[in-house]
Amino acid sequence: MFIGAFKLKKLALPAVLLATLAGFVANLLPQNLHDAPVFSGMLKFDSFAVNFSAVLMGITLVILILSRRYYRDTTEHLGDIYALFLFSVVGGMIMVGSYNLVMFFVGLEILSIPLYILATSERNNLLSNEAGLKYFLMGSFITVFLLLGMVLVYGMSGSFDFGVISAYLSSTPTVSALVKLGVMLIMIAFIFKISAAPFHFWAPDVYQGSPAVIMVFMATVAKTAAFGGFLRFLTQAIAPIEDTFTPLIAVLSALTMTIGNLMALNQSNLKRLLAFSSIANAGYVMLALVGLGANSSSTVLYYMLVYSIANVIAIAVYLTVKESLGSGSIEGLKGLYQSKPLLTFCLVLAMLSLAGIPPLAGFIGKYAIFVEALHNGYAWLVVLAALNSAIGIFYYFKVMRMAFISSEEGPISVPYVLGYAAVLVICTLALLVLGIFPNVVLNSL
Amino acid sequence: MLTTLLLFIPIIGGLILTLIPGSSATRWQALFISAVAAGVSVYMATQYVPSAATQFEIKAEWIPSLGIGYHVGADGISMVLLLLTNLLTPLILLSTFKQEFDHKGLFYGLLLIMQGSMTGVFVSLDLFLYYIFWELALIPAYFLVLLWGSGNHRKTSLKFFIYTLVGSLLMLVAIIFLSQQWNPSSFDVSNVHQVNLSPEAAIFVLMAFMLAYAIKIPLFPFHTWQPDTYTEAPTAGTMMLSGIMLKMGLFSIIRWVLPVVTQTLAEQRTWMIWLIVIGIAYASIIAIQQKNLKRLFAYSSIAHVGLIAAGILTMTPEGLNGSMLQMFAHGVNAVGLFYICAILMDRTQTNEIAALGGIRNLAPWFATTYFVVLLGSVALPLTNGFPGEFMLLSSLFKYNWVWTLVAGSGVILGAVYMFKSYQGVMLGETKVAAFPDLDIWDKVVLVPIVIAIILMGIMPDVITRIAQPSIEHLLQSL
Repeated sequence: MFIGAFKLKKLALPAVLLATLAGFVANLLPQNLHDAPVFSGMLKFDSFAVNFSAVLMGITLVILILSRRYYRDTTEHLGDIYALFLFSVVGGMIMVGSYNLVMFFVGLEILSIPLYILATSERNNLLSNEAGLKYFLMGSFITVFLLLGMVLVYGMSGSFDFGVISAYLSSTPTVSALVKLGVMLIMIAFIFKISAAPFHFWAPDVYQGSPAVIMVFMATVAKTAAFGGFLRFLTQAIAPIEDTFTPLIAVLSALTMTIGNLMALNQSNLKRLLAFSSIANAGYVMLALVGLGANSSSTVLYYMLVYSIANVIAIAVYLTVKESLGSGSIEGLKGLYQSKPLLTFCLVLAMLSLAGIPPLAGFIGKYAIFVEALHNGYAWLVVLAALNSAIGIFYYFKVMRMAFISSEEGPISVPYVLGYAAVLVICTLALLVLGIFPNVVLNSL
Repeated sequence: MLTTLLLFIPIIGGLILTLIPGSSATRWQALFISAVAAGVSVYMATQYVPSAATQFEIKAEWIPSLGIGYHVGADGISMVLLLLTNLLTPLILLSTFKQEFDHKGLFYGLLLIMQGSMTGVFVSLDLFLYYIFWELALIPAYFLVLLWGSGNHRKTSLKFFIYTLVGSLLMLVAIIFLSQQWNPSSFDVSNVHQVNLSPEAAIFVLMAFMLAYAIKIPLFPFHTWQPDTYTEAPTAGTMMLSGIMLKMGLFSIIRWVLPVVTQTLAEQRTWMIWLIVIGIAYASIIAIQQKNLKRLFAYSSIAHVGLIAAGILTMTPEGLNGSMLQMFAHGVNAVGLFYICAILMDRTQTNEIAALGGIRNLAPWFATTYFVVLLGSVALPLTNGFPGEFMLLSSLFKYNWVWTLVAGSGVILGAVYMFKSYQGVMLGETKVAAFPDLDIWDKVVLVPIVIAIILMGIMPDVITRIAQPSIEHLLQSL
């Protein structure tokens, strides 16, 4: 993390990659798994935390490989950028591993603050600056809600510890409105982080303005961490009164996916389209939260993993093409099939997976989520989600079809970049394997 | 093991072909893969013991936490369709050998993936697995229309995809609902067939399934995607769609609707059959008006498959046996008819009936084969269309003679438009400058079809012998 201090540009990426890989492996070592909280009850590395952390680091790893080419012209601060990536993912891991509200807050901030900086890392781009500022203002404003909520919960239960809060809630026959208000405020922070309606307005601008690698990092790692934290909070801290909030989550889920899908229909900028698609996907994942069953955690984990992989593929294709075109519009994909059939194959798989077409992994993920919601009697929500998936097909297929339309200028020349190619191969294989053998993840928790 | 081979030889072969750039050898590689699968299916048919039992069965766990298994096998009903799928696909591949087009690897790869996934629909004995193959068959079809279609094909392909997918999604909701009737949830055929549903739930399940199938087959009034798609798709795609893919819907009614919601279907079927027979007459009347030969065949296909669906809904041995015969016959005839369109397109660059004429004098081979395929299609006795159509009509007659009258008028109109089109294209004044007769590649495709048409007309027993025990068993267990 401190390699930036030595200004060793060449060394920065390998060192960071090595660190992430080491973390990934260390995380999965059996010694790491403790069911009891550690660090005076601050963190708890149960299988939930370990699996989510593995996903976070795995995705960070491939995004880091992508970023090598992206930042090749950046002469200064390269080490800082990589360090910020790492800080951010550590924050995410703290979030999914936290067993205490304070720790949770610290994790959220460690995750977010580097992202504010990273969003502006393209300093000469006005949009990038706007994105960073917007994200920062909104994010810090939402933090206030989170803190207020924590204070209220603390005031009534007398502790920040998840276990104590949970014990307090189950032993109290009538939970006071203040606690509910507190929980609600905390949930607002989550809803902001996962960019669900009605706190989704920042996402399209921030995603579009940020550099592509940062955008995909926000859409995948940050979101997965937020969902992990959300789940953790719901299952471990407020499980006894969780039922009170399910109707709210259900309504927000319906709202989020409908808004996301409808808004995505007319987008022509790929990053903006992916931003709305990410809002819609947040809506789907919330389906799994409306009633928490034994399989909820692994379902969310699987869905987020698959969704992240598909997003990384889409961005990797976008970056490869953008080198030759320099435009962010999906029109830029025209003629891709003529010159790069394999690249198109990856893009098609990613889009089909995002659209939830069998037999790809995205379908299995969506299916598992639908079943979760149906178990809890939310049939209307499932029907709505099914209709929403049909809407989704329009814009995912629009992207896909662009690649097959021959461009007027003849086949576009697309450079071969080892880093992008490696990421694409890894991610495409992962997507296929996860689709055919979903059990690898789906039963892991 | 044989079923698994039959499934994955074309799918994996097709995937590999899509990834390598096409060359002149690609078509041979594709034909080889497809022919191996055809060989496996024929071997299975010879090993098949005509009885009620499911054979070549494999059952393994796939996603146990969701109750999903890999359960495949074939009974007599699926055996017939396996033969149809795997014998027709090599012919369909052969029919493209002369054409020049871009991206050969992808084209043949997609056709092979379609072959494998349609096989999957016919052998799946797990509802979830079945759904996956059902959807998987759709993706290559979409790309075939999108990339090699003609005319307004971009729009058509999306309409086709969305239309069929909306039906499938509702079916998916019903599938989830069915699986939740068991604890832990299960999709296995043995459980699905024994499910007990409340009347309202049964209506929902019936409607969701029938809508998906009515769109896929297509049945009136859900047929609007079909004429455009058939006309604008590349010929091989049209052959796959009409020859094999729509049988997925008909087969699915037998496998997943009849035994699951029997009672409700028996109560509701009257209006469904009414709609279908009206659709038969309607499609036939529209077909008479068509000026484009491919479009005419597309509408005639709606009429033919409507009759099959109506026969299945009667739930009689006669109706089901007739439907098996007619499914096979329609597949063979459809490939023949659309190949004839392709030949005309290839040599005259048009399928407009008005622009053609007098070809019989120039191409006697072509005239004869076209005539035989046409006879099969209008169900003349001693051709393959006759026994099936006869059984279907007589099964309808037992319930309501008016149905037979309406559906039978469709058959008569069928003869009218078919002969009218033949007259327009082959007889009369010669309007085309030159028309080379069938070459060796055309004969390779059309001669087997002609032989099949005549052979099946004389010995329909080949098909019924395989399917009959399973059909009787199915009807007894209702």
